[in-house]
Amino acid sequence: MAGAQDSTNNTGVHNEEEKKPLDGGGGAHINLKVKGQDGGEVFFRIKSTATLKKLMHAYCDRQSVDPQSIAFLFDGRRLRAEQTPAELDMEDGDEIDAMLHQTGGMAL
Amino acid sequence: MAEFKAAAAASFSIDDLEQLSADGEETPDLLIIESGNEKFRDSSDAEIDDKIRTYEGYLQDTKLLLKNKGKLQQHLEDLRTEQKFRMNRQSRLVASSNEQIAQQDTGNTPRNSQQRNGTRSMSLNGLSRGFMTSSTVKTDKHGKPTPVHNKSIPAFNMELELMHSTKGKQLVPTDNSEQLASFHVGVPLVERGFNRGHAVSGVQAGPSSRDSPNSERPEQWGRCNTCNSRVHDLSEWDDIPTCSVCRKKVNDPDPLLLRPMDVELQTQASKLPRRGKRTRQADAAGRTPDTAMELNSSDEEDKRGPSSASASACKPMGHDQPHRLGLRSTFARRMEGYKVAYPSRDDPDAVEILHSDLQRLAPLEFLNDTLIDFYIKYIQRPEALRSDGKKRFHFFNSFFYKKLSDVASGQRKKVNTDFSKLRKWTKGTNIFEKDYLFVPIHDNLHWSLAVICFPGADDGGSGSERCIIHLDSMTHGHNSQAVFRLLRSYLEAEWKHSVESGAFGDDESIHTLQTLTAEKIAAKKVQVPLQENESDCGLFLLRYIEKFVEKAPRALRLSDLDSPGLFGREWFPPAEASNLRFVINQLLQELFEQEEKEATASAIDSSATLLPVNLE
Repeated sequence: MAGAQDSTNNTGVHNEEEKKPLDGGGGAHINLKVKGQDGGEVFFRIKSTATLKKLMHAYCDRQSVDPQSIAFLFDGRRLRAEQTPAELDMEDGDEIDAMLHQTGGMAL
Repeated sequence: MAEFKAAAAASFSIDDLEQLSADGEETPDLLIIESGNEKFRDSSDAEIDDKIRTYEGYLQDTKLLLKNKGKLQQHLEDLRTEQKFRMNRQSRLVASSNEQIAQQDTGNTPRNSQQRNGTRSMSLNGLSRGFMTSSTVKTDKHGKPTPVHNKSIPAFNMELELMHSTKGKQLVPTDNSEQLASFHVGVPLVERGFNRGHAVSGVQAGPSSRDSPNSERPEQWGRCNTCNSRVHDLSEWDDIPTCSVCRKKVNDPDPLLLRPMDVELQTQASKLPRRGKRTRQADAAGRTPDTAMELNSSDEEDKRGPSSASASACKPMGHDQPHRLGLRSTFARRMEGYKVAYPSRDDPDAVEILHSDLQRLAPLEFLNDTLIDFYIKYIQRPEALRSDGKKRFHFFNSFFYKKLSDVASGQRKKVNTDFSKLRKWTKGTNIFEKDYLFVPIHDNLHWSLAVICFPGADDGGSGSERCIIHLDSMTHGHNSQAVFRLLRSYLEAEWKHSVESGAFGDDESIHTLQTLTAEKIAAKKVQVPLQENESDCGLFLLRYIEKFVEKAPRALRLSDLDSPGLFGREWFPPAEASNLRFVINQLLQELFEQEEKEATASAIDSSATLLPVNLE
């Protein structure tokens, strides 16, 4: 895992979040970016051993969308709520895609 | 408790609201519990109901070998007695409760107004619980509580009113459009929750239904024979008795009757965006890149472990109604419920299917990406794909094409589209070594399939020619030219990158000397069986893949595309594709049943260790 502190993510966007002291409970924090289909980005700082559930909730919450309407993808993988960044080899500054679920039956 | 902090707290209010709801959750002092049995003093009504249901489940399950069966039965009896006691108590409580709430109302004015001004979805749980016990109290414009005469309000409105009161709102008749909107948003969740209840286990009659407005008529409690929840018998006001929880006519045996309404309400909900201050804040804050949230892992949800998580997953959502008001719990709980991962939970590429996805397999429903991805994974199961299948084929997931077009449209002004973001999607795979790449295409509520054949073929040498084919189950489905344009530019960019990064190694003779230009890639829309209705295109897409994989030619030339046997309108009878609806449904049902078994087993495991404690 990449260093937990003060890493600037590769988009060059300055991250102004305040640095919290890391608690001793294992697992470094990493910064993750969730990118919506409208191009909007939300940054999260999450412990690499924590499940992504909370990130997903927080994102949906924040965007006021139904969690069931959103699929989260990382490098094309569909993410599950109980997976952790560590499991998925996520690194600091990685980007998660939040995409609307698609349904289809006929052409309009 | 979740402790995620918004760094930009000024513009983003989750922080304080979270705090509020957390405070509220732990203050049951507003809810007066007058317990008949000392040992249940700390249990809420909902918990009692919940326990009864759980224990009943244990006792009914013949597969379980319970060590303390006698004790369990005794405990269950106690619980039932307690439940009865509390039910009777409701009537006595109402009068005093009304007074108390009136006091609380004035006492809590600052918090209350904060709630109103802040957001609809936030609430103090304890406070709202307090309110719920007294939903009969209406507050008029001057803040004075006035009793409501329920007799004039039909069941529907009562539920509506209840929801408003739980939100700590002033209770006003429903001509307010904002409230109507919130009603539309709110109700389907309830409906869905209870529907799930039908499928999985008994419905938990949460405090909301227990403390419903007409609790001053204890003799009217009854059980709904559909959802089995404790409800009011509304026959007094209605011609047809209706369950206030599942809205079913009480004597109607067919639970499917609810379907159309349920669906309709859900669509309404999806059309109505949540509005309000918080939405705007989120928009403003969400798109500024200099905000970040910290998510702390020290959440009790993480600590509970898989077994208890799956155990709680069995609980229907009706139970959450009071908790829905808390922001975090809303989504946390909604993400739960039954779900399966295919091929397995340990597979990082697994597709997760929610139980709600099964609804998409009902006749005439449109398939969603989850089902598409699931079946594509299923096609790749080792026993179906011949040994070299994994090597020959690459299956993109259903979002690939969307992402591709998003990336391309975002860079329209640039000369060369930069697909580097997509490169990670094929990490560990050299697409030019594959024979066939399958690209599910979704656009405009329609599914179709593109197959890239022999992307790495050299011009001449071997027997194959590089080409892109488009298989569409509708004659006027997707624009093939647009599909070809996008996939060609993707191939070109990827080729260039592969050559530059040396992915082909020393294989100079074929690859590195050759440049691949988009214009030179042949493309053709082939004739395939067409769908006979307006809902099956997803199934046709899957059937195309399945059928093609069965007999994928080792070598393919453009001229082969027209040869009989390969594609064509008579490739397979359309019913074969439509039939997949039932095949997939069957597959998933089996997976869910298996999951349910495992969940029950682990729930029992954990309860076996807990039971002695509970029974003391």
